[in-house]
Amino acid sequence: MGKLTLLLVGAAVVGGSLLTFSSRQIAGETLRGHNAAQADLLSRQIAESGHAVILAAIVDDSGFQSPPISTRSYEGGTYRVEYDPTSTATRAQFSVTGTYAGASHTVRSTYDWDPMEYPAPAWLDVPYATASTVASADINNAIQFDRRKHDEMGLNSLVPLADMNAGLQAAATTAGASYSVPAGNAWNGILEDLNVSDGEGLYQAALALPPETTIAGPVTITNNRSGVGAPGEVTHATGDLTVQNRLQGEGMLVIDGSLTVPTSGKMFWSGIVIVRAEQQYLPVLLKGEVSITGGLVIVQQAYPPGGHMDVTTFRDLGNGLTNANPRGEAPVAPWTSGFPWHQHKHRFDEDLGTRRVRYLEGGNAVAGQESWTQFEDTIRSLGSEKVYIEFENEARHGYGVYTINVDGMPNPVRGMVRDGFGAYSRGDSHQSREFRADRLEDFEVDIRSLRTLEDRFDGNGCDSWPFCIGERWDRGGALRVRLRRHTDNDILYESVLYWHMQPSEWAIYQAQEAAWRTQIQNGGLFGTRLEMTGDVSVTFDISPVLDLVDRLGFDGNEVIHLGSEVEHLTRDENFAAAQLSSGSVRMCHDPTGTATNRDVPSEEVEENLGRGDTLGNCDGSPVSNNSAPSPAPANPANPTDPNNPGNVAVCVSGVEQIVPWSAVGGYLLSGGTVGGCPDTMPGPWSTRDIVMCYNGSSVAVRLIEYGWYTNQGATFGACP
Amino acid sequence: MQAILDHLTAILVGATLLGAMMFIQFRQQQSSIETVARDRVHEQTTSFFDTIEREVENARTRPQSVTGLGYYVMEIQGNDDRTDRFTFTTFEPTGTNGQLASVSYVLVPTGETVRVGTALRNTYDLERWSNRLPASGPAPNDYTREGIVATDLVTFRVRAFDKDGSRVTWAGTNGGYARPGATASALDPVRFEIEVEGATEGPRQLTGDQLATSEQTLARVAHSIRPINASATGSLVSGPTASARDLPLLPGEPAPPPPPPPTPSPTPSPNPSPQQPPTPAPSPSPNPGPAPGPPPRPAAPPGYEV
Repeated sequence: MGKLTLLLVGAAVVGGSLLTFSSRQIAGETLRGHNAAQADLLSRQIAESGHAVILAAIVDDSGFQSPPISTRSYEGGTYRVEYDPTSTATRAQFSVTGTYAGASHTVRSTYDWDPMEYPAPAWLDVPYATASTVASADINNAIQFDRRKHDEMGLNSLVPLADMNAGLQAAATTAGASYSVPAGNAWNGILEDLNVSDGEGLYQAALALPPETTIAGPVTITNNRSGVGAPGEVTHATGDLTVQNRLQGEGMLVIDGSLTVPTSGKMFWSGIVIVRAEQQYLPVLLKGEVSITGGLVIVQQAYPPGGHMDVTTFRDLGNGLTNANPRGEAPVAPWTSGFPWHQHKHRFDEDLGTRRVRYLEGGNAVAGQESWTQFEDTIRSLGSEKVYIEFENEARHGYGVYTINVDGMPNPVRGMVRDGFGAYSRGDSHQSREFRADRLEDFEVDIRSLRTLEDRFDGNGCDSWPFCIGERWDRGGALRVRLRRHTDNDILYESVLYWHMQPSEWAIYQAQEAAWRTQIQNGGLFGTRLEMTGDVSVTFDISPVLDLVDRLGFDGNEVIHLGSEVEHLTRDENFAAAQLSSGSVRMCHDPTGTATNRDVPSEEVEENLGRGDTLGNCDGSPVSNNSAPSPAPANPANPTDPNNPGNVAVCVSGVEQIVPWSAVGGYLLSGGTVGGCPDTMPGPWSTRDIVMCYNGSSVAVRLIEYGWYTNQGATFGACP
Repeated sequence: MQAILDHLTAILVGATLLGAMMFIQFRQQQSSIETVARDRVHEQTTSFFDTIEREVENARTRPQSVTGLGYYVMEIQGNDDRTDRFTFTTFEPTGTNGQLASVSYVLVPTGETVRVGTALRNTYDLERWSNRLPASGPAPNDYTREGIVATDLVTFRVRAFDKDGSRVTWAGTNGGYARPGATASALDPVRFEIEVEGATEGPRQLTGDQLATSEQTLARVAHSIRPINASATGSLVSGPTASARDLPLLPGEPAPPPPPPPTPSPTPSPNPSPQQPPTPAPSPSPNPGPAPGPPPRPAAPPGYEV
């Protein structure tokens, strides 16, 4: 009985062991599949991350440059960079290959460099200009004249463009500059990166946010003022500026009025200087020592006056304003039934003394404005309903600047209507985030320029302005400030802001313009006078302009992604591509260091991959598969030290020592190696105990591999 | 008899051990077969998924596709549970270069079912069709079938999203014909979600208790894939380029209706009839009355202007 039991138990043990072995084998297959999937995933991530790193590394202010890195470790894998030598400063072509556990993923990309365009260094956005320069003046590059105001005002009959150009051309030549008059429609492209349409737009953008430094003007600098402003900041002189002594600063200098630097004065500015005025005559007199590194912009808004701003309000809290219901709720006093609006204020700016429409202040109605805007009444009626604000027809922005403050905000949000709400938008940039109506504290829209609201005049295409504002669902394309309900997007409230003239005012305007023309024709002072008769240097430098990118909303330098290709190779695909006809596999040893190509037996591939080696050649070139098959491993030669007969180098615990050949066995048994110390010590139970110098590295190999390594050119002993 | 009784204990112990061992072995065999089957279907599914993932990673944008192929189509037909056809433009590397191709994956029912867990699921084959510029000759007007690229699929689902996170089911250039029932997207997809499930029959010799459990013979692979060119604003492409052309016919797409015949221009009759005298214009009414005008405006209240 005992024998039979023993037999059966033995059989059970053997069967159980076989089952366990089988299970482990199947589990190993499954694990291998998971590891391969993980390698695919990680190699993709490494390649994409490396691609982003390299893209950031090759871009600077002057374009593309060759990356300072080639192969780097990353998250347990490596990425290798190949930068196309035909790349230029304006076009970069490169590939990044991410590898992880044998899998590789390559991203090849082409990028173009689009440097920021700027009308440099002297940009005249004026209706008419004359200039005088001397040889000591130095304008690096060109004077560019924007002819659009001259054309729009029909000035050619009064002050011919050709005559003006001749004078400016001569002045530019004297100052060593060229002179150009781009076509009117060319300015859209020239100013594309500045995100403005003209010099006035640049001026308004500079003052959309409160300037960091304000110099009350008109002012004459009679002392030494240094360190004014800072890179990326705006300094605002609120009147004519005369530099009698010395002014030095950085960033953007905005001058409301004329700029004069007499012979005794010195002005040094790094950045953009804007001289802007609405007067009929704008002198810019640089007679002293002046150095502007960046750009000089002269803007003259010498338009004849005319018109005013109307504000018309619509509201329908019940049904919402729709195409079929553009008028909304019935009019309120002083208007009676039949008026197509809820409220309307003619000549808002002139009667109230401001173009700043203050809808709500501190959660309360704004005295003097609420009766016209009806905004606080609307907000109060909505209670805690969620709403959001929207700007519509924002192209007619009037360079408006909005301020919104909702209870809980760390700071009020302020920006230009044309730019929208930025980070405070709900997706559409011109829609704010939603908020509970009763949480709104402050909201206002400050219109800075009547003309960019664009004309919505009676008798000018619409015989019934401003009636048709109320009858037309699109409000004639005028700027609309809306309040929408969050849940259904219904338009609950709408305030329309537009530049308005009645027929009678239109006639007055025509008369004013005629008088203005007569004055010019009679030789009155008109236009911009630019004198550079001192030691004047105006040099274009993009760096201080780039400093203003965030502050003024410029696009800055741009990198254009032209196209990419990706290539993915699994571990098995790479293994097949790296396999030599000899049966060994080409691997790159220490890819982020010495990067040495090695041919290793296929059974060692996993171990080498685990050490961070990669499959294939280090430089990524295809593996040539024409090497002869390696002969069968031969018995090792006598691995003794030829220089020290009878002795041999052994390595124990990383320490090399010379011992008699007869003692080698004991050292090997204690985990040492013979031939010296390898770059990487094998484990204590490893059978890799012979050290050879192979491709510049000291490797520990098995006795059975000794012949193969010898055939590959390896020599016994650690590398010197 | 005496011998049997003497060894009864041994026989009972031995028989129990043998039975237990056979039972374990049988279970292990079932488990092994199931594991192998699952591994195989997983390998097949991931292998196909790997192919489509590489192609979607290399999907081209509208301007790139128009430059390389002369048109652009990105279309996902089907419903929320199943994509019947997925068409997009990708880059096919050939040697050191390559060219663009519009690829269409079409899901074809096999008419067979497979048990997945406790439910029967329909199985599908996936066919690959493509349209690309030939080395010579005119550009083809339709897609060419390139065979079956995956079998035993039970799920094929593709979702595409534009930069705003909105679903895109059709985006393409005009020409040829419209996509009936499809809402054209102005924005092109920047991200795809692709889900593929493959299944196979598991072992059928199951014991009662095993039948009560789900068979694990379903392999599911799903990734969110971002085409590397999604951010590209240029139209740079490798390989040949083409001038603008109509959309080719997708597999199963009805041919567009023929264009309306041109309006015949009046040809002079060989024997022209005598010219009719011109019809005299109607004489104006002697008293036409006032033309209808806009309704009268209300008068502004005193002291206020409009």
